[in-house]
Amino acid sequence: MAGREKGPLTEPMYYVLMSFLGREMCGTEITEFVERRTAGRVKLGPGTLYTLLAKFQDEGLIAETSVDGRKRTYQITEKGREAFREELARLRSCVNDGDEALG
Amino acid sequence: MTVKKPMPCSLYDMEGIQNWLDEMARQGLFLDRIAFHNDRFIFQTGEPRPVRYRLDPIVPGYDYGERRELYAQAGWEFVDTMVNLYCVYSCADPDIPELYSDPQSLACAVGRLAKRRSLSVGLLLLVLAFAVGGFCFVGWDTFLRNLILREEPFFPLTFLALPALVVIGGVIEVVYVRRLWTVCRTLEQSLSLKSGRRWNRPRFLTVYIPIFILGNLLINYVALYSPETTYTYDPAALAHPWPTAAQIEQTVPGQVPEDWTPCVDGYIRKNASRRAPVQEFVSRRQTAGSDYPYSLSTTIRYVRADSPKTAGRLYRLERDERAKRLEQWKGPTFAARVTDLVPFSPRDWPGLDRLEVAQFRSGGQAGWTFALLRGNDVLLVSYTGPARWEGCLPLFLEALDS
Repeated sequence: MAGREKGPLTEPMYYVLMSFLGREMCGTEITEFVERRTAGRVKLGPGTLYTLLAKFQDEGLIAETSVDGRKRTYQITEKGREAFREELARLRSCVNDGDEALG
Repeated sequence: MTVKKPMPCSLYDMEGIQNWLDEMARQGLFLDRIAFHNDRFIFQTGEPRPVRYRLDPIVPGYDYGERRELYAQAGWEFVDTMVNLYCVYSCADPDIPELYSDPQSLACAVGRLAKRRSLSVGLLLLVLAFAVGGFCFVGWDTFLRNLILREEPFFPLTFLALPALVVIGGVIEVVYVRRLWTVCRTLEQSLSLKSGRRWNRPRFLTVYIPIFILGNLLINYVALYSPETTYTYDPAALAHPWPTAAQIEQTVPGQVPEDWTPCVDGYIRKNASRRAPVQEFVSRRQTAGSDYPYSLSTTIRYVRADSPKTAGRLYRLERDERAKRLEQWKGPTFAARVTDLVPFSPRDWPGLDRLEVAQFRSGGQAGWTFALLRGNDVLLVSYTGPARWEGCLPLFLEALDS
């Protein structure tokens, strides 16, 4: 299955998508996950987070699994996993190219 | 205490609005709500302190309640909405991440807003284009008539005002939507937004009121310097000695006495029209009675234009207007209801540029209307009675020559 066709993921996109690889997540859990994973380097604003969630849903990378009051939970789709793998491969390639260039 | 301030920049200048609100907070003015069609910001005064104000684009499917609560959990308080374009949020804690920590995500939100706005503006423009197109289609002939004949000097001005307003409004909307797309593209390239131009006085003082005053001055100027249209009727002052009713009736010998003089009225219109300097209308009518064997009606409409081209245009307008009237008079509510209508059809006649004749019956009598164009002259004659148009036309051509 082809992943995302709309170019490389930005850093917040990458980490938000990564957050779903382990389990289903809601908004606050994603924010905490990203902050913990990046040791506070990447901080997600609430506008950024909910815009990315809507965008990923539109592109079929994640799907809503449950709604409990204001709390919405999402899980990654197969297309989302594929998009993440593609981005990972791209980043690996970038890193390898950099390493080789440095000698 | 509350302080009211007008918005000093464009509604589509997100960075400008945010910076201005932040500046106000540093001066001790904290946004409370937005009023007066989003042009009036109402602030509460307090101890000056840094507060960030950020605009959240209202994208399709925006759940106000959910966003408000989730943003509040993240430290951003809802303040108010602006024209269904943005929600304004504020945050006094400098350690809390920006509402949009990543320009790409803000670009995505602005892009969705711009798309929604483009669609609604496009739809609105389409509807307005159809409405204006319909308006122009229906009123175009009246507009041309008034432009040439100047029957109502204001009409062309008011006729053009609506399409002009729609076009100006449409251009403004398109410019605004383009600004949104520019914001979107700037953010997509991870470039920082720049504040637009600020105006020192309220927009309505610097733009809307001057436009209103200038518009009124223009209308008053037109009213003052448009010579009035006057209507008089003096048979001696008519441009041509139109055949009398008796002369017309004598084309069918033995019908009426020669000194037969029916009721005559009409007008000679004088106005500032340079394109149709002579405009006349004569009406002759008589109801059947003891002295008269039948009812008759003759109307003569004559216009002399300044050029054959104008005359040709007037000919078409006048003929269409008469054709429309004849169609209307077919209705059952008219006393002299028109029946058996044969619409205008072209006829050949030596020396005339155009000649068209319509025939009908009205009030139990035969009738006809001819419309002729000769050089700068346009003449329409309508008649009900026993005379035939072929017999009367030479009388009118003779009058035109004299």
